[in-house]
Amino acid sequence: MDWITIISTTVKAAIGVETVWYALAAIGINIHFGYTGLLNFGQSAFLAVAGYGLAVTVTVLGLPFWIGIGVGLLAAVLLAVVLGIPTLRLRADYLAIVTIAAAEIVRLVFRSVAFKDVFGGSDGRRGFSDGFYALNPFPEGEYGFGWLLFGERTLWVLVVGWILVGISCAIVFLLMKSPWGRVLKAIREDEDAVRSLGKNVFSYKMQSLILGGVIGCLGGFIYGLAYASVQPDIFGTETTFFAYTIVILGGAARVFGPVVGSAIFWVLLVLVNGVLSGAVESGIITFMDSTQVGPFRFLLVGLGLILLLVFRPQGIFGDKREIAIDAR
Amino acid sequence: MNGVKIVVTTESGQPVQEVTSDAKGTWEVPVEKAGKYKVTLDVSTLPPNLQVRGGSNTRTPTVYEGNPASVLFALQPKTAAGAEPEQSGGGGSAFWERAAQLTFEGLNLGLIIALAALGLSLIYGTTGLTNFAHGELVTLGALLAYAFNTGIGLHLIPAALIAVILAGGLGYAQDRFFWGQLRRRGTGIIAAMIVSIGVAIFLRYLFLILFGGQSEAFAQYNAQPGIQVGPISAAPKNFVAMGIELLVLIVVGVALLRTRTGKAARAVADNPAPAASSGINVDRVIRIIWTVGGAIAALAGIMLGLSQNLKFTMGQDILLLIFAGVTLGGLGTAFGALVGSIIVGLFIQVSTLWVPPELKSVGALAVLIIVLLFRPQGILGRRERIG
Amino acid sequence: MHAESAIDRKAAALAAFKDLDREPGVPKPDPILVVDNVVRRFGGLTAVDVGHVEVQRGSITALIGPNGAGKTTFFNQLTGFDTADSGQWTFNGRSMNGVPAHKVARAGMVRTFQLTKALSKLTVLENMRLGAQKQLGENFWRALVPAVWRGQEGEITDRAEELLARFKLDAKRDDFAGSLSGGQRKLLEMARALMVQPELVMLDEPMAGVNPALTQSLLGHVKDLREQGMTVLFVEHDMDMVRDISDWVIVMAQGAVIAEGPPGTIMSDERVIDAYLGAHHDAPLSESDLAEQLHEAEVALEAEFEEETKK
Repeated sequence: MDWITIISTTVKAAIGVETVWYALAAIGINIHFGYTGLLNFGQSAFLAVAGYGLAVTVTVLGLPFWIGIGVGLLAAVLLAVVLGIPTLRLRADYLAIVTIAAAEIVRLVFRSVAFKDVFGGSDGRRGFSDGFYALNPFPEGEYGFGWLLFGERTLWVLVVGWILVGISCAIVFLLMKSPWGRVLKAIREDEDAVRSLGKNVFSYKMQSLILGGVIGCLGGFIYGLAYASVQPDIFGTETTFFAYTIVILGGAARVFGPVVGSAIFWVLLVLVNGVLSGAVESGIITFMDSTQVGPFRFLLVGLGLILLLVFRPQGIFGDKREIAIDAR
Repeated sequence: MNGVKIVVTTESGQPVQEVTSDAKGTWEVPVEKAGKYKVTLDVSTLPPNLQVRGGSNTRTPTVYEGNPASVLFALQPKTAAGAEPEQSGGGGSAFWERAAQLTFEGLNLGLIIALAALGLSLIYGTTGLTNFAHGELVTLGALLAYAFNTGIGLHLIPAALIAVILAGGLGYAQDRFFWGQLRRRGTGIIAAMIVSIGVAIFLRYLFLILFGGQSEAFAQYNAQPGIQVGPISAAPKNFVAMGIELLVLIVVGVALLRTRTGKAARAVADNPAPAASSGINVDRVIRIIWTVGGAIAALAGIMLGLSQNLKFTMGQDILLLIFAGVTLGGLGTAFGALVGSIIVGLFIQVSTLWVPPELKSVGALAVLIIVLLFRPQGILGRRERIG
Repeated sequence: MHAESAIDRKAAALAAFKDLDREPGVPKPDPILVVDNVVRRFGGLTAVDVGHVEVQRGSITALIGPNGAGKTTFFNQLTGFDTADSGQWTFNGRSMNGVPAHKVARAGMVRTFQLTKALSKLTVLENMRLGAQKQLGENFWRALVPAVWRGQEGEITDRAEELLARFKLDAKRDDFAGSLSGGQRKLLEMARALMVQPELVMLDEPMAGVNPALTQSLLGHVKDLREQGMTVLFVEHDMDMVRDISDWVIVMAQGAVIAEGPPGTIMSDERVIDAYLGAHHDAPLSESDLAEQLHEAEVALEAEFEEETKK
């Protein structure tokens, strides 16, 4: 087995593009679910509208990159408002179903043949990231040391991505220490009590939905820019569910939970993939062929999610007394 | 018409395939992606005395995923140049024929959804679990039947029977060894919901590993020629399938209304606490619901596999429609789920009269959202009393 | 405010009620809350149908009645937690029907709940701080700049600690509210309501589920609210409590106000005795009685729902 490759890809995964964009999506979910108790199962739609907002603005309308980012952010805010007005008064399980349905609608519309001229059907859109890479301060070349090397484009995406993750964490940290965050956590515990103390619960839930959606949508930008393309099926419900797994893995209602969770999630995924693929190729494992390795790791994700909730609902680093997922 | 050359290209002109029509004059071109295609009939390969009606030898159909698009070239004896092409008549009656056909298909889909929804709704009612892995129970049934059918070589009917019984047993086991244990630990409904997502992901990828990512069909009843009943044309298997679906639904419905267990199940679904205090063994009722729910979800999967194809994502793809049916009818009410599901099925198919088939689910999901806004308790649910 | 002694407050309240009629809906000299024709129906069942009722400012008014009389539902209407089918009510002369719950609280009318709603995963102190109004740090943008709200937070904390000391919860300030006992939660909920600085405090069964040792302390706190110039309206089952602390009693039965009067004599009123089914009228309800009544009410409700679903 090629251990060097396995280890280098694993280490790269810890800070890689997947980790970044999933971390952003998960930070958003942490605000919704971990702090406010909103069961938003439509997070992928926020990533999708942002990615497509950028892509369509640049490729179809021919406008500059920055306007595309603006359109993407605006689309995420709009989606939060449109989704929030009807659903934030519903019970938690209804909210889950409505948001997941809304996310599917968004995905189906983006991949539809009817709107192919705008959204590009199931192929999605490409060719909108030049504006971003034009800003790249790193000259062409390989960066890093030993076998931990990144091309200048990847490095640029990662630098921007981690800065966004850092800013998002700082915002969450500041907010959750403030009276604003206190209201959110109180809503998670009991809405009626918060109402009886003169707080406009609906308004706070909406603010939470918008904030989490906007932070999540940054993940959509990072994906789109890193791969220079967006496809509808990247933003399916499984993306949302993986982000939930990440939040729970790192510990819900913890500032760095989603980031740590995302790194662990992708490290494990890449490591399992590398080890199993290597084992299959060198004939150590015979009951599986190399095409089954991919699905097998996602099977492990499912198993991991079950085991986490059953045995460590507070996540790897969470505090049992503070867990957001309550016996309700 | 035999031996006519057909050239298929993408919209932008890139060639996909050239085929020659067979003895019956039919041809088929598998295409990879949904989108617009250009189909050209090579006029020079036509018998010299025929021409394409309307004169144009190209068609540009739009192909949607999972839905074959048919391209017809009507041929007519060659007439003198400049002669008026015949008008195809009766647009109005064609619309109603299509509407009837779609209603039939919608009813079929609705009944399949209803089979799956009944179990989901009762499980929700009795345990509060919104089970995101219910779609995988549907897939499970279809794949089990497929395994007995093609793997062991049983005829589909006994294979299906075994699959349904086995799925019922697995439903029982799932509650006995998994969900029941979680309930005893006092797992909250939100935590349980997320656990069910884990179960769904786990099962889905297990199916992918064991079954593979391709689409398959059962060994029997595969390509049945359609029969015409009134305005509806469908393969006989569809009529039989609908009959079985209806029968099972009626049997389960009567059981819910008449038998002790059925009444107990409804009582528990209505309100577990008083039901328990009136001497109903809630755990036993829940286990029976899981068993029956698993079995009929499996049946739904087999029926779905008959009318479409088998794939490891077939349950996942239908899950939201099941949710739509259940929520539309009112979460936790058994008969609401039936009505809701049939409405969803009908709506999906009939709406393709106006919307492209690829967006038919969008309409159903939009309706689900709108219904929740104005009547969160569903069509047959009751208003919750506050305070 | 605090210059007046406790006796004066009690005397003033009693004086205001001295010559009042004992009819339901009798006008009070200085009402803080005036209710007219509030009706709430659930399907075929009329849960609340209150003609006219007034609550005197600066008094402790008890709202009593047998189970299922609609007391809590009435509370929910008044505080915006449920919408009335019809009717109107004014608080300090300001019309309050259709006003959402959080605005009712901001107007100075704050309630507690029958089943306590302590915010379990927040500390006792955080629970208290949440009650303060007009917090700068509750605005999204200002929350991001701690310098803006830190000063105010300090003041709020001081006030919270003062109240916690009064309610003897100061030792628990950093514990999670979920770790408190039932009685302590009731105390916390009451203290938290005071953080809002209300004019009218509405307590929904403040004594329910509290162990007898804490009851006296709770009673003392309720009396204390009046001494500090607040008006108290509370729902209660236990007649002994009512007699001890209230200045005026309003009796509800089957959704309507059937009688009003001073606590000393109200229990001898014919209408009240009828409503309480004779024997039970002056004995505090025992645990088993309560359970039985609850069960009866549930059965009645179930029947009601059956009716509704059949329609």
